[in-house]
Amino acid sequence: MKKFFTGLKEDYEIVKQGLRLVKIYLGKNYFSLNLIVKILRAVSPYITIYCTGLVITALTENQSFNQIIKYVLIATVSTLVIDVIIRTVNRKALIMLNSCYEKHSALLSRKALELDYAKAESSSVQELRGKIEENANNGNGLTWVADCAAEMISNVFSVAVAIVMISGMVFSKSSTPLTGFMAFVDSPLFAILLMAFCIVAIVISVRYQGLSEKKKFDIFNRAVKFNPILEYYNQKYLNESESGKDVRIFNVKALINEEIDEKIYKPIISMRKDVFKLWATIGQVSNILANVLGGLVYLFVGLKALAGAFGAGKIVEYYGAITKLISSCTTIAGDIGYLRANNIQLKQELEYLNLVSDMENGTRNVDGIDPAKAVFEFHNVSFAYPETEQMILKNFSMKIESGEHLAVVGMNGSGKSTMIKLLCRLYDPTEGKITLNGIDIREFDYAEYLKLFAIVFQDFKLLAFPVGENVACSDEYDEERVWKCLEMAGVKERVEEFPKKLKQSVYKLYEKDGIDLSGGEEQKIAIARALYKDAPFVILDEPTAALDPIAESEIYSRFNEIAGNKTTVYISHRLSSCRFCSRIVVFDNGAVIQEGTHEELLENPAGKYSELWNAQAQYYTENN
Amino acid sequence: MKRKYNYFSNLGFMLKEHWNFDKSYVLMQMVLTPLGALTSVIAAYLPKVVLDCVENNSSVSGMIIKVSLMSAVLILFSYVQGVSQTKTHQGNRLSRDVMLHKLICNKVMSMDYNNYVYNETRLLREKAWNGIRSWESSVARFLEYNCTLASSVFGFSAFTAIIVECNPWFIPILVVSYGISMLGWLLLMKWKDKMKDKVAEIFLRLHYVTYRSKDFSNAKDVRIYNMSDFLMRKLDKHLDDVTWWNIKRNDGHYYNCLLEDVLKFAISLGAYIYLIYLKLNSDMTLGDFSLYFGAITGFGQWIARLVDSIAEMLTSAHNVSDFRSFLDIEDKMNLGKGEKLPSGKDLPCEIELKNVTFSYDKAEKATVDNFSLKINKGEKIAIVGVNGAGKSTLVKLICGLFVPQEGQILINGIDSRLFNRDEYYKLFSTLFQDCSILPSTVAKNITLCEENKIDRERLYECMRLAGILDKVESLENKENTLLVREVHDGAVAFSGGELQRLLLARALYKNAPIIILDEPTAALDPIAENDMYMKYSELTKDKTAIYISHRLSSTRFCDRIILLDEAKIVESGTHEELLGLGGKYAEMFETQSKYYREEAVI
Repeated sequence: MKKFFTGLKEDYEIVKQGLRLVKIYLGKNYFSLNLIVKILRAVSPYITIYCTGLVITALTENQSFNQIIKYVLIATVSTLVIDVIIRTVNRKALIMLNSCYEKHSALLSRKALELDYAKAESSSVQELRGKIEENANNGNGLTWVADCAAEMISNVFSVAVAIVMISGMVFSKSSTPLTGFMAFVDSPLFAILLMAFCIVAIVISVRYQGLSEKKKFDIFNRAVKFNPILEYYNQKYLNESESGKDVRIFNVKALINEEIDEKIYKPIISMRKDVFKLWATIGQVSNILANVLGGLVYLFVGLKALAGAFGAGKIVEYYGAITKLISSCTTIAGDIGYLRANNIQLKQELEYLNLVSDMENGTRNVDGIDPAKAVFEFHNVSFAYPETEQMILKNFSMKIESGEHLAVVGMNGSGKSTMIKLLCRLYDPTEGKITLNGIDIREFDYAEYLKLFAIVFQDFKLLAFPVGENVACSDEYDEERVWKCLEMAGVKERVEEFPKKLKQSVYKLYEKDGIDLSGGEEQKIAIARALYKDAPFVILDEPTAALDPIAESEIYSRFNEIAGNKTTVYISHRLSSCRFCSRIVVFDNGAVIQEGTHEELLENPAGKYSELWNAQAQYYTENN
Repeated sequence: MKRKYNYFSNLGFMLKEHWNFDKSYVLMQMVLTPLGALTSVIAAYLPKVVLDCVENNSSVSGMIIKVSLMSAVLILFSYVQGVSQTKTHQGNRLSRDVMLHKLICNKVMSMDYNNYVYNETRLLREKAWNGIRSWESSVARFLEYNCTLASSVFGFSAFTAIIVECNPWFIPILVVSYGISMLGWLLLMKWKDKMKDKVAEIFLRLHYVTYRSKDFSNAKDVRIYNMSDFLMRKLDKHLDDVTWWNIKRNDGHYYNCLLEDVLKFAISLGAYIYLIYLKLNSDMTLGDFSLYFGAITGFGQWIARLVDSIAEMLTSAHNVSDFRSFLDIEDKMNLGKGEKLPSGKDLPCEIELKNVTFSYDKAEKATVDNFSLKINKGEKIAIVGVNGAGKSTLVKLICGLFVPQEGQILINGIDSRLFNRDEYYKLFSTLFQDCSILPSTVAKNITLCEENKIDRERLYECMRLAGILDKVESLENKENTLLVREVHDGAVAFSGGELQRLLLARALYKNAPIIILDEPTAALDPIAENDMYMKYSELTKDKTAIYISHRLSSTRFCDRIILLDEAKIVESGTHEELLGLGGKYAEMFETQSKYYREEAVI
């Protein structure tokens, strides 16, 4: 019993937290507005029930026409007034409720933006979000709490009103003495028996309702497995133009159909079948009980009236009140079951929304760092990606001097990009540390620290927003500077051709008249974005892979202008780029195996650098 | 582009689809239709029976029997109704998530590529998705709405009969007053339909921002460029748009509801007064009083239900029409029986482009203008040129993704349009710059065929040739390793270079007579790149090959180099010939190679 109560208390706490969240994301007044609407809705039928009873009683007693019409007016006018109040209050609540699905997913996206990178990547976090999304899809989770709690409270009101109305019935007795069965009908025992029946029925109802809710959640939880795949197909694979080419040329239709069938349709079908089975059996218990009770109540009230305990008017009144009482009790029972089962999902939601960064976040700001004197150093750093075993970097040490132009070369998978991710703290090293001017980079405030870097990643992404916003990464930007950066990146002419210039959206996913870009154009815009940020450390990871020789050469020749006095790290498979870097480091298997200038490194013909260089250079030098 | 479908055509279409998908769903709908109305009628008579018993002081046993019988019927009916409602609900979800989803997916996969990427058809696709996604008035519920409508007609008639018995004049009065409210709803619906495109746009933008904000592939850029505030501002702005729309549509809803409330008030007041007058001045029983009153006030509900279900049915019918307009988008390419594909001694193929002109969408300027080129049997050509010279467009034209507006493309002298569209694709193995990964295993991503059709031996041979075998063998589940980490737990993330090799393996596995490689070494390290060059002739043996690259070192393995500028051939010849020409190619080569020469001065 004690356990039961602590469980209840815990559930109450979660619901309370949920309601607090609802306040934040749906609107401050949503819960109270909703509660008012629900209470009025629960209570207003009693006016009609009561007045109809009065009218019928008056009719049987042959009261005057005017007297009866007075009851009628009270009933109809008050119903109208309450209806209008409900509509007006609900108008405000509905506006909030109608966008709750969107606001809820926005809430999740917002959190995703705040997560640290490793968390954002973690499949367990993504799975958690997937679960929450699926719950929201089924109308459960956070959104439901406010509705369910309000409904429960309003039904408590309804129960109270019903009890007041029927309290007179239990002890109402016929004025004439009765014998046999009718005497039993007339005694309070009969009423108590009926009440006992009601209670038993309600208890059974509650039990099954709770059971069916719990089972339902278990079934819906299965969707977590297939939903991300479905989303991937809907949003990406069967939506984007790149995959459209593959689908056609490689005739992937049959495979996709098989895949979708196995991984999505079959689980969906079995899930829906199980839900149906559940609702057609356990789910119908309270429905049947409510109907059985309805019949019994009619019989009871009718027999009582027949015995002469009360008149015909009371039949209508008592019947109405008792059936409302039963349905309210069942609803409360269902809501309790629902709220408690829903708490499982609410907990997930709170878990996700309360995720905090595992990364150390220091307090130092970077103002004291003079870019002209900043030195980064890797001290015996080892690193494996979260949840993996393989060490990508092993006991790795390297120094990046201030103002130097460093080229990083090496084979695919030698750890070049990983080094960058550690440098800008997308991940922290598994072992060892990275320092800036001797200070562990973890001691800096993270947001401050990131201000130091402008990076063009190998797999950078542009968003389908206007060009200007893409370059500035903001909706507020200095147009002149954007143009200057576009010019430096060599894409100004192209953007000038766009009908809406900087305001032209790229791709067609956000605005219908967006313009599709070629790989080279995307890359140039990404470079312009890095320039616009104007950070002291510039990192370019394969920035010219998609560029033609002329454009590549332009970037090269502008490199000094782009890089200026900034410290630059340049990663490329095109070793020609090493020529204008002041120092080259060669990576192999997660460690630095060679370093020096181009000339120095070539002096060792057996070295990795020579091997890489010759593999590429032979085609350009043979003929000359 | 949008077509009109009449009601019966839509009903026929949906009935056919539902029947083929799940017969029990359709049958359950039929059961449900009369049951709801019947239950209401019985429930309306129950108080009358009890009141009559009391008023007439009838026997106890008589009352017990009557009430028990009626209750028993009600219990049975409401159980059956409960079950079939569940069935309907689950069935609706299923038809949305499976039946209609499948139809859209199949259309997406089988429509002409041009239609797939074309702006207007994309919008139709978006509309079709919206039509099934939005739960209210979803295409999936069209049948349900029709059954609700039928059931409303049924209940409406039953209640009409009861009221007619009391006083037939009530019917026209009730119908007219509810007709007014119906008009209000109709206007609202019309307006909503007019706003549909605008609303679709609002949601398109919101969904884009919500999806991208949580999409992991954007996560790096978002963090380094501190874009979260910017994205959140966008989110807020689009949420405001959604709220704006909700306020707008709720306003209409609100005023209609108010009108309805007033009507309901007038009707119940009128009914009360009339019935009380009647009761006081005639021999009407209490039971009849309660029955008639219930019927007159309840009549409104039936009319409302009737109106609602008509409105829902009509909105849903609009969505069905949108949905079908998408499914019925006409493909222009040859889907019928085509010419026989070249095989045996006709291989490798010869490709000829004759005066080909092509422009995207409604672009004024043709991307490819009056272009001619002949690629001989088994010839290996390289296409080079600056970004935007039209290389990729040309490739898409050759492999039949786009069809030229003018001119023709001939394969072994046969116009490409004479081949069956999907057959024609069999001629090509391609590796495009942009890659798309299937959320499945490595093996399926390379072979792109169903599990039981995978030729493991060839798969391994292709992985070896593409230089990805070592990587795959180092994985615990080998070729059965899942890709795409955001979708599968424990999936492996391939690096850019590894993905490119995977795509090469895919092109090799297909082993088609014409091979097209667009920048296949962009993400490869120098050793791997060199390796690819060395193997190039082995990879393209007995095939006609087109190689697009910015790395001019690669072009010397080709028989002929085509230099494009603004989609025109400016130079053509072997590497040596073009260098000797001293033109644009020589300039490009010089630009690229100067960095590799010892005497380079920067």
